[in-house]
Amino acid sequence: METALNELPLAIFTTLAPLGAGAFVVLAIAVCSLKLEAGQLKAIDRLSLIPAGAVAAGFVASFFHLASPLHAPSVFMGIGHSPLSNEIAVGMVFFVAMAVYVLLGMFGKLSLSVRKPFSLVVAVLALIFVVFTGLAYMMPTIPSWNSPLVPLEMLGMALFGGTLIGLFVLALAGAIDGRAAHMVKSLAFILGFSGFVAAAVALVGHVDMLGELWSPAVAGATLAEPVVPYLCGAGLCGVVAVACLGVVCFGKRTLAPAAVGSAVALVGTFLVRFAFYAMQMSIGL
Amino acid sequence: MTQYAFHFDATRCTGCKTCEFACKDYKDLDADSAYRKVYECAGGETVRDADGCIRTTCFSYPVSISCNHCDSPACMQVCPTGAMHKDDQSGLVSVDEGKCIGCGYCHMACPYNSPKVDREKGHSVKCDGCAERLSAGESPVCVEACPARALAFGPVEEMGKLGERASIAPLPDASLTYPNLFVKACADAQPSDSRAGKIVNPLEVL
Repeated sequence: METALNELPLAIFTTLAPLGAGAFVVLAIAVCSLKLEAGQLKAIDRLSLIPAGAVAAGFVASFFHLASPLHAPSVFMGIGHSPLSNEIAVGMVFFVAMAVYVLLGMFGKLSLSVRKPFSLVVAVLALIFVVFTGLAYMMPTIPSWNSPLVPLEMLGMALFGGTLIGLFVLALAGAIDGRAAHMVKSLAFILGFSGFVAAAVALVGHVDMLGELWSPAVAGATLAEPVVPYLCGAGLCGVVAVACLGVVCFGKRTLAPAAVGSAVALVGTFLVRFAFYAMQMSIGL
Repeated sequence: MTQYAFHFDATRCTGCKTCEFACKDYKDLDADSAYRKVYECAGGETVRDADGCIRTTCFSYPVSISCNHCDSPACMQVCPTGAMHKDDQSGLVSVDEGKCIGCGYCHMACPYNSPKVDREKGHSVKCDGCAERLSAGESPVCVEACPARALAFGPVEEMGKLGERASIAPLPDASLTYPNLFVKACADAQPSDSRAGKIVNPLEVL
């Protein structure tokens, strides 16, 4: 577990940034498919600071992982060959697009004709960023991470937790209370539940994969043992969050379950990420 | 360009760790750091058979490892800033302290557990093959200190004649990064893909 403690800033980064990014997918769906009133749009724009703030906080946390953050501009030199450079480059593109979108919205500078395509662009960039965040951990010399299940895990958690955060923003803005929002809530449920299933399947497969791994330093099964309590906790959080998602999408109340679901999804994702760093196993020493 | 390489003679090494401590002394490293480490690989079992005879498959051997200045360094491939680089003249892999952000990606990627992030210094640290000694016509300090002459250092063509490219346990298969480490295996040595042995001094080396 020492590895996981050392990577705490990264665990925070890979929890907050992907979930915050995932929220913009649901917000894009809402903006593109709902007939929102001016007041609701204004509220959504203002409240978009919640997921945007989560993304920003995630990036700030990632800096605490660096021993020399002032040299950070050099990371772009590795674009193309370093998965970390690729992740940061894609992350920066998403972050700038997201920040411009949120700021323009807050200052009332987004017409509906611009808002719809712009929100979709931000949503697509968010998903690309999430996938690249997962890809950054795929290295042939770390067999316990070198699996497509890792980016799938990341994408699933971002869609699941992000959907709940997005619904929380929409509920706070009073945008999903009426019957007109039924389609958006149905789409959000499909998106969020698909994310949950993808994350759960990827996580089970990932942990199962550990059992077959072995190195002279540690056996994969030994590595998996200490993370079991964290993964059980994450599983519990996942079940509660799915229930919340169901209530938000098909029940009568939206705000409270969306708030609880978002918080629980964040906790569950953090537990998964913490366990992930504890599952680092080199192919050699 | 002359690619430099290490040679490790496992038939001579006694596991005394003089190489490790000579390096620590020369590089002025603290108690928690070592650029060269001696891994003890051991395994097997001792059993009494049906005839009452004691039979053993036990083995144990030390392997002295630092950075292997690989032909295809995993650390360099993942380094986001290009701080981890290979010298054009000597092929030695070292860290450009002015570029390194201390992200630890090199540490994660290296299958030889070589680079580490020194948060006080603000960058990754590792064996640089004693580049300054090399330019003065001397061998790395670990090589010079070895009382059993189990270590050697020189152009890859010469070191290649002394042993096979490192593929003994607990090292990973050489085809992964093509380490410039050539090993003369001892009788106990297990191949890289063997699961018979494990590192028995993890607190010292991992």
